[in-house]
Amino acid sequence: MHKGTVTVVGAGTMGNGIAEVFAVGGYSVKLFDVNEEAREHGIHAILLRLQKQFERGKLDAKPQEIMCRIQGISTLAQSEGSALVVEAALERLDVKQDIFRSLDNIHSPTTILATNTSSMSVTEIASVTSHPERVIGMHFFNPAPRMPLVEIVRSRMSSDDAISTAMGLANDVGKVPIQVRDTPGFIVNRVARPFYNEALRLVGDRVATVEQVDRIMRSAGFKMGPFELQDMIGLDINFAATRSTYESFFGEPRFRPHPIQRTMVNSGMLGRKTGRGYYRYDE
Amino acid sequence: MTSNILLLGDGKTANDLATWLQSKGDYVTQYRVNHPVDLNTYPRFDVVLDVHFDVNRKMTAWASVRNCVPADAMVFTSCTAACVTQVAALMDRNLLVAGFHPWAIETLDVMELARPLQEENDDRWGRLVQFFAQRGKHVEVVDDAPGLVFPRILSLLVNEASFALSEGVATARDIDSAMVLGTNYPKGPFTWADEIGVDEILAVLASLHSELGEDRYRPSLYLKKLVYAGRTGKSAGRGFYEYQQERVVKTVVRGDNSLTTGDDGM
Repeated sequence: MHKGTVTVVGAGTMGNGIAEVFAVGGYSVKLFDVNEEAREHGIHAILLRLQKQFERGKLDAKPQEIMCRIQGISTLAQSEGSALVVEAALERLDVKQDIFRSLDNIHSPTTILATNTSSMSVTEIASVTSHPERVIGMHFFNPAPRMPLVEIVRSRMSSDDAISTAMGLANDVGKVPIQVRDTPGFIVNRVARPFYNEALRLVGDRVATVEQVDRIMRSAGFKMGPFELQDMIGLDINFAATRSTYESFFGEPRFRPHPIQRTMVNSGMLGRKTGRGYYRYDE
Repeated sequence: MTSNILLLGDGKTANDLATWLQSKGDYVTQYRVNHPVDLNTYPRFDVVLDVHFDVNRKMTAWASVRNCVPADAMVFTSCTAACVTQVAALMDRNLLVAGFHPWAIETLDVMELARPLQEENDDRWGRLVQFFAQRGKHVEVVDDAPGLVFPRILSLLVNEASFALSEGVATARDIDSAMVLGTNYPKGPFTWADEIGVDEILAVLASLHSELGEDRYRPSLYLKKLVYAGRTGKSAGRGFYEYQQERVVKTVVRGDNSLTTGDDGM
């Protein structure tokens, strides 16, 4: 049975993860990236993950069957005919607005245009289109194939139809979609801020050490403490999220970043990916 | 290592702590301000644990039991909404005092203890650490600030979730699910708050707000309204969510070395 086509714009970590989700879910997927190398790399990354899952017996279909449904495309015009386009490009407003202007011209008003932004206003992205009612947010979490949540973001102009179609599509590929209003950080990135910010404050005020805070929070049931989790996410990514929430709320003190975090980012100790963050990983 | 313990406070937090201590072999006498008993008929107390989060309630309870507490007793006082330095000063006796928090006593394998400024160089402090270490807790000694580490971080998570809820960002259930599914939190913030007590969460925030004087700790109005309305969580039958009223089991066993627990009210 043909389930229709989904286009994913951007073949980076989020983009290729989202492409995998829809391909495994039975959709034909077009994966766009301006950069050919990035596109090939993204498709290859999907193949590697599928093969690993297949070997572990966690995949019903053969990896090749799923890969047959994924096609790399080099122009946005080739995305015509898709039921849904999910944009997962750089987190830069001008880049996203350019993409949505093009998509708006290419696609009939029935195609849902979704952005995977985690830190920008969906309303602001939608504002450059002539059919903003079909523009929504579909915020997947990293790693997209494994994390069940998708925040379905309703902009000021989104239609009920667009929201319910997106909810249905997310459900269909085994995700748990949750509706959220277009507000800074949506739910998760906003509500999670104190987990990092207050932990930094406690350490900054010498109430407890980095190791103590992590041990205490793990004991409370969190899989990782706030510092080891920052190390995993990348301190630069985490700092950017905090900063963007703070700025989007016009300097609300609850979101104020801690200087420790900036010092760490400036030092280049960004976490696991650099071998060192709050902890060392290079030994 | 069995101790004769005087437990001050009532409600779920106190009852859970009493149950846990008994499971470790301690004798527990629970003293509730609203139902005073004559403590002079009890054997000598080695340890006092006060779970009241409100400083005034602490002092009311302390005023009625202080004469029954020997000079060499150890005192653990809840620091979810106070500095132990302040509490130790108000107790006005040269006792060995530590701040702790009684949240989720049965599930947490870490016990946070805070040292008051007055005991900075007190070499008896090891005894306080020993008490919980002997009962299987890994003790983390942290500096003295309201809410210590876990209550402070959790209360701020609940506060932010509560702001988001009152701003209509999403429903309570959706906010809870999002935090569990999107970030692997063990529980959603509202579910967690209802289990611990919305009043306890609010107390942490209010205390940080007044002690540190920063807008960052300003409690959401919705949290306050829940507490005004008596919707303090699961044990009250309603908090962020509504619960089927479970029958509160009353065990009132009086006599020496026995547990005395009463109703679940505050």
